[in-house]
Amino acid sequence: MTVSNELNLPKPWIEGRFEENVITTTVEQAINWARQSSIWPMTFGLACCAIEMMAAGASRYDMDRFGAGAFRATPRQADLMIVAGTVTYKMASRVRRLYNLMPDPKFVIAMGACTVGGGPYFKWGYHVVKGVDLVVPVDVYVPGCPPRPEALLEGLMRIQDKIRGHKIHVQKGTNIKIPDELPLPHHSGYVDAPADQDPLLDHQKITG
Amino acid sequence: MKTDDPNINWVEEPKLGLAGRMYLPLLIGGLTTTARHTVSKKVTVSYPEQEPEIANKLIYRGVHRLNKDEQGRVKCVACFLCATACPAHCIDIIGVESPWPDREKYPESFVIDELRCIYCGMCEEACPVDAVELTSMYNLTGRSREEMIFDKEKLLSVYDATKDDEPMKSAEFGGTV
Amino acid sequence: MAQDLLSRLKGKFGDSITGANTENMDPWIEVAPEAIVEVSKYLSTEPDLKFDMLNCISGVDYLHTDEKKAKKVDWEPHTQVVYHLSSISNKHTLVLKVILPRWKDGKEGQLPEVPSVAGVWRTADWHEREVYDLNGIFFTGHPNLRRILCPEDWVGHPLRKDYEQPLEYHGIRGR
Repeated sequence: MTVSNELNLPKPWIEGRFEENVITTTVEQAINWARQSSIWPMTFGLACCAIEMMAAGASRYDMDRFGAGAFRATPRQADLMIVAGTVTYKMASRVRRLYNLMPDPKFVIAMGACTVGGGPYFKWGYHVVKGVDLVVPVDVYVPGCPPRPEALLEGLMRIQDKIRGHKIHVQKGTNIKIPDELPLPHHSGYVDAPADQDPLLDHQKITG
Repeated sequence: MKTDDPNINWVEEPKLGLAGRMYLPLLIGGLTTTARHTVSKKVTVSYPEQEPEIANKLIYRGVHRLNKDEQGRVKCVACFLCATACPAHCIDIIGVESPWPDREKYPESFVIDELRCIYCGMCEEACPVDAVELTSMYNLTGRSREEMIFDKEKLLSVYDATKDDEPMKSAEFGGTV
Repeated sequence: MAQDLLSRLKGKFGDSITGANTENMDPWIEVAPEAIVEVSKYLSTEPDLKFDMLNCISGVDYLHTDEKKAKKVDWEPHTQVVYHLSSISNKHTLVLKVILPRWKDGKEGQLPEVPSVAGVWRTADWHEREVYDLNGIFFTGHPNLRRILCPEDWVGHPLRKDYEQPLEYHGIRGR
């Protein structure tokens, strides 16, 4: 066995053994690298913070530099939900539903004072959810009213840090089932789906 | 309003020539814009490397700090004016009797919930002793609620971090110093 | 102008015109709830008045939940519906008011009723739904009186002064 230094540490098994044109890495690092540099956010502007989110996506701040400029209009293609704006109780079930529709691994940024904790609506806002973390799990909080685009980019970089820290063997158990499901929304409000039927399949039947 | 109303000014569609019908002027106009942007100055700010310019750091409203006086004590006198003025109810103060002779009370705990704060600057305006101020730190983010609740020590450490860059506000900006 | 209009309406509808203030910047005329549709039809069709636009319908809840403040005011608790009208062709405006009890027959929970003017101005449809949703005034004869802003299963009418915020909504904790 070759000894690399006085501390008697073994040399890395494969890294740096080849010429410069050959790059070696671990599968874990490769997957994390690919994931962190293509976080596709979902278009999810709910109120005024959405304007600042658009500014972050436009040419001056350019979220494409982080590989996160492809705002998707469907949760099926999105990895990141930037909840930008006031979440009302009426919207809360939709937020939860869209979050559930996103493929794993999925991340949530709560952007702005209203989203992270009710903000100015905390005391008298009868219709505002006091923090979106009561509805979906939040990974990064970005305070401000609204936050600057730089603050949102900072939040995005923290998401990237989080992805970089992922381990493959931990990855298996991350499909967490959220226990308290909200009722399914339909065009006019809430319906209570019958418990013995699959709510997604029977949704059309219930709404008529 | 009916379509035969005399107030309506009817505009005729302009007659287009061959080039116009083949969209040539519009095409060339659009390509000119594209070409101009390829050679013009880049507007993108590469953020983490290049910090944005804040015109006047003294009047920017970012993360709060708690000022210290010359002897290193907290300036706050626990008068609760900031907590009263706060529209988002994000300031929690516990005032106790002060150990120093020059004031009656001082804050035993001074907690600002940065998540609920809307950075309006009302606390700074309300403060009679210029103890609470907003700094130019604009890029605060957090991974949990707990780390975003700033207590007295943290707010004082923000002061230590920013005092050289942003001195306490002068009378010009509404301060009393 | 408001004075002429008031005497004209009084001559036509008699006791249904229950009060007025023509000195205000926005002169208003108070109408009995039963006659609001008749008066609206008259105002919107008469050629020299021709109030062809309904700017908004507002619900106002007159109530002080604080005992001390309630003693200081000279009005009894009541609810108002305010109609702001304009005439685009004749360039004039008018305010109509309807005064209602806070609860029908004084029974808590029974919404006060007023006839709908959605048949006169189409825009009243959504305005009345909003007033119903937030202020709890029932518009009889409305084509589709459902909640418009709050969710369908919301309890209470949030802009009433004695409204209490829900502590929990479908498993989401409030405050």
